[in-house]
Amino acid sequence: MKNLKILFSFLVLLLFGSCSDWLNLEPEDGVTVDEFWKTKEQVNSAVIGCYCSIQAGPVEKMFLWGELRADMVENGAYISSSYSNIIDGEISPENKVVNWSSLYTVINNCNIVLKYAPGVRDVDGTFTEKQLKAYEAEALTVRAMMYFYLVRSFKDVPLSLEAYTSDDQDLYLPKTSGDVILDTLVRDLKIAVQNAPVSYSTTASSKSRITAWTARALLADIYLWQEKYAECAQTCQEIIGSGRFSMIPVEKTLLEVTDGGVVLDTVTVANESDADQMFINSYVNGNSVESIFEIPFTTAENNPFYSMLAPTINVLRPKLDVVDGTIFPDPVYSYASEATDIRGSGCSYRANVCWKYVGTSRTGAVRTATEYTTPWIVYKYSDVLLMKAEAMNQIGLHTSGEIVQDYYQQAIDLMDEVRTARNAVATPDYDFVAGDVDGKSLEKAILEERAREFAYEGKRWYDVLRYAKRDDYAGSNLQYLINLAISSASPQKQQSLIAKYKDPKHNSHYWPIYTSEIETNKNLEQNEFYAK
Amino acid sequence: MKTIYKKISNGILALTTVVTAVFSFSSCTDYLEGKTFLTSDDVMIDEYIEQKDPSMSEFLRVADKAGFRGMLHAYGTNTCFIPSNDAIEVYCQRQGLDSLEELSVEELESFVKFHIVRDTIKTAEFVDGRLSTATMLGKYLTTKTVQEGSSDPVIRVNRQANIIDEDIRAANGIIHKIDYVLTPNPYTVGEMIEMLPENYSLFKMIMEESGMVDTLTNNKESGKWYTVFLQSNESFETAGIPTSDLQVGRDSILAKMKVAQPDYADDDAKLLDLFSRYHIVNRLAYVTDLSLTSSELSIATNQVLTFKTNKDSLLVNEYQSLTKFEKGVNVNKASDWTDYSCYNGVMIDLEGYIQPVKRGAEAVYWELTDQPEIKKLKEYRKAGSWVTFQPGELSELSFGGKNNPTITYVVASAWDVKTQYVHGDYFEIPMRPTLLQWMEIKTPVLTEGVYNVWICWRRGGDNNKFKTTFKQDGKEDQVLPNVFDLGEYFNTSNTPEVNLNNGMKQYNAKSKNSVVCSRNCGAIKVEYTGRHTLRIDALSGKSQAAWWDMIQFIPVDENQLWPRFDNLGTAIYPMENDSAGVNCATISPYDQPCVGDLSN
Repeated sequence: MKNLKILFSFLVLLLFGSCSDWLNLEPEDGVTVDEFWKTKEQVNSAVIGCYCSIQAGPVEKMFLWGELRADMVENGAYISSSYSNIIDGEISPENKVVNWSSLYTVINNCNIVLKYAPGVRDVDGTFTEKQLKAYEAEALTVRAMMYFYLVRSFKDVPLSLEAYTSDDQDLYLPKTSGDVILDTLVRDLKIAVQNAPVSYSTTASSKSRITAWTARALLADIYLWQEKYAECAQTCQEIIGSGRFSMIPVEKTLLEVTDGGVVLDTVTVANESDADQMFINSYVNGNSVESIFEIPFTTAENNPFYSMLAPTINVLRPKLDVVDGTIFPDPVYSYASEATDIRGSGCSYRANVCWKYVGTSRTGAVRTATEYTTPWIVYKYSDVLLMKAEAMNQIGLHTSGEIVQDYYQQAIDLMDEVRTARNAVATPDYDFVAGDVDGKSLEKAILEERAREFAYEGKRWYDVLRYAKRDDYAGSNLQYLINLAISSASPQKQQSLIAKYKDPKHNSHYWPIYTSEIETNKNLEQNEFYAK
Repeated sequence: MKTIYKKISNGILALTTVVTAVFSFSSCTDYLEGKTFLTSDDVMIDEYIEQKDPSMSEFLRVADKAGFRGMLHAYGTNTCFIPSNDAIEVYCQRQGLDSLEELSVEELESFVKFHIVRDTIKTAEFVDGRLSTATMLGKYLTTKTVQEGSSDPVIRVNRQANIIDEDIRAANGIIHKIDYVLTPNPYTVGEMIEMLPENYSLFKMIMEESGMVDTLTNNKESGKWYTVFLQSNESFETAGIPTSDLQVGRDSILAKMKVAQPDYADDDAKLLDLFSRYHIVNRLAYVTDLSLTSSELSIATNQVLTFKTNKDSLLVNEYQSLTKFEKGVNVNKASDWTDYSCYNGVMIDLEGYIQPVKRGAEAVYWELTDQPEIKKLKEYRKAGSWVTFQPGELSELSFGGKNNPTITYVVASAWDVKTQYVHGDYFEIPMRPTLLQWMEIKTPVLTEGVYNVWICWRRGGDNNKFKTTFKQDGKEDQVLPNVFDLGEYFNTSNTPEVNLNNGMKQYNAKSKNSVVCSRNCGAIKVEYTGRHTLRIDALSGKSQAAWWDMIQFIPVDENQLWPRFDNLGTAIYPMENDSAGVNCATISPYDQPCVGDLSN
């Protein structure tokens, strides 16, 4: 065992599937640790490898984990039992959806960079300390991103910060408390914020590699989950204040609503070609001015959505009774039906298709099977605006005195920046009167705004769970989850799912650990709710 | 789209795979350590209990004695709800038995049969209601996940026992270990109604007087099921029926029934009978079953209860038409008596008052394109758009055939005498035996009565013929008399009366045209209010598609020719006492001349 050399070679696994070969042979085509880690170019390559490993598996998980338990997708014509069981709240450790291994692959790739990159400075004189720190910042941030998904999904998970490069390491890590992990991530991200590049040479790189802004967006998101609202707002403000991002502008025309010549109201209609540009820049071309960090896909490396969302496959589709008319309200005046949210029909969904990933424009053709190249958007500017809005709203709710209304107003202004850009429908729920704002109504309004803004971008379940668990499920917060169960589960499962969400220990709000992980790692304890 | 990732040398891309291995089988050498591998580890249910979980041994002993050991040992598909030894002990204590062996073999047999379902049902397949298959005793078990107080959520079976160990797999089935013994309710629905508490006194009295309690008590042969909708005194009060004096309450119900059923106004006994029968359905339907149907026929002739799920509530008898809206009443899901299993059925408790209603036939002028999925489209009624649908994509319009038929929703780009579709939109349907062979259309709500069915379309093709069948659940299919030819032209030189005699009419208001047609498929008899089905089967033809606009259901004794519809969907009627008929300037598009007979 000791004289075993390889292990850091990658192609090895691809070339030699079987275990015995893998033990006995020196790789022929692969690169060994001794040969690798000689130049800064190799460090760069290894960092790029980290990103590639997000494309390969985690994007699918980010989508499924964020949407299946939420209320915006439902079974299509062709049912996948592993998806439909989750939609109905019948979640079992055998369900392949809960397999986390692809995220740990990314984590280990990052750990490897963090372990070996510093040594390259000894052999490559042109590799500066600053460059090293920047690469490390990328690896730290990508790793933190994966752990944040894991903690929000499973709560407590094994925390591995060491690279697995040798067979005699202890691989049987027990779970670490999610709270402890989040503290670790905050520590890492504070370093990354300092060291990550502010931008790269091309727009594409600046959107698809970690920048200091990505690190901040992630940090703000973690603060929000930790209920550290002042820190969250501060971090968001750093991104907003940078002036590097903005909402895609959409021109609007005013439409008067009249009755017998008397103007009763005015509504706005978004310019269709601007709306289409928003769609194309965000979901077809990618790298929009709004984007902070996204995972790009190409015709050579497709995103995973064809096999789930393509109309001819039709495994998952929008849950129209919830999405159309509720999450996206109907126009206020039926005879001014053009006054709609540009994120609704023709963007997030179209008929019974999750259009963002399927369409080539708002009204254009469906993508062909090999053209599934919509980027996976992890953070965009509106997320920062709405995170800060949520933080200000919470600061208000946790404060007393007249100042509270100031906080609420700040939250409303931030939210309105998003709503204006998207021509959101002005329902009474958003009719806040300055100085007389009910904080709880505003809280709900922000959640619903997030549902529209990030429809099918893998955020809905985490948003609702964050709302429910706030202040240790204080007051009626659990109702956020119960409402989700009411609108998502099939009628014959609804009451049972509600009962499950009422689990006093809240373990049912997190995933079970995949069976094969439990079987191989004896130190891993199954989530109590699933451990019968 | 080109991205930076791909510019990097290939060797490194493989970084991706390293750790799948690390976490799934850490190291190669100890992969097999600490595990015992058997050539087959299949054990039968009885073997599982003997070898792995003796805490269920008491049940096995009983099964032995009742003669079920052979079954538990044979290959098969079973789901066994097995009470633990402790559970059986508690049960015996409560029954005053020293042990179950004091029971006769027949009693033990029933005992075991009620714990076994001959199907493999995992907990993931449970619903909030009854299991899909009955127990060997012929009675159904109910399941529901409940969470009470500060305890963990549990699955409760038959309102009696909680599952303490679920989904244990054996070679011949699944075991769910439970913490109490399951016993069927020995009382029939009739007997249970008699036992209802005081606040059901008025319902009880009516059901007794009408003789329905006897019906529900005496019919207990296997396979005969009843679902009874209960009215508590509170639910009567919601409709202003007093319950403090039962006779006054009874008279109040009769008064309401007389209004709704004028045919029987003089026959109190008949009215009470109708009222009682209307609360009974000849099927075992728990709340879950009801939430999946839109209507159930009661045992009052041709009287239905309709159901609509709205978030977490289940509404009974909501009804909406052009002219009427009747608010429905909620099923009281929280009531102890809802989903209450009885020997021959189940009870469902209502929050409000229901009674049979007699609604007359009402004309429905329906745009076929108003399908729920299409109304959600951005392209809905937007000029110049089209969207194509595959089979299965429209929930209320199914179709099939050979060579991948599709239906296209189209909105005409501009008004034209030949594209006078209502709202400009239509379906392009390639109806023919070699392509789209059949379609089934779910109708809007139709009230009971006799209707002519008019299909309004723009002609196309040559000799593409089909037949039409009207289907309503529980009734015989009605094949409509007229074979339909989609290639037919509208005869513009005939008078409207002559055309009507030939089964044709002008349905569009602005300008009669030889390609814009409406044909009467024949009359249907709607026996009860509800959403029914029109089935269309292609008979002949192989030419192009035709374009479908509306389907009109017009009561046979009403005017078949009017209203016509303009392109905004406005119903146009001829003006009375005006020989000039309709004012052409009121028909959209307003700047176009009218062609046709405007007065009749």
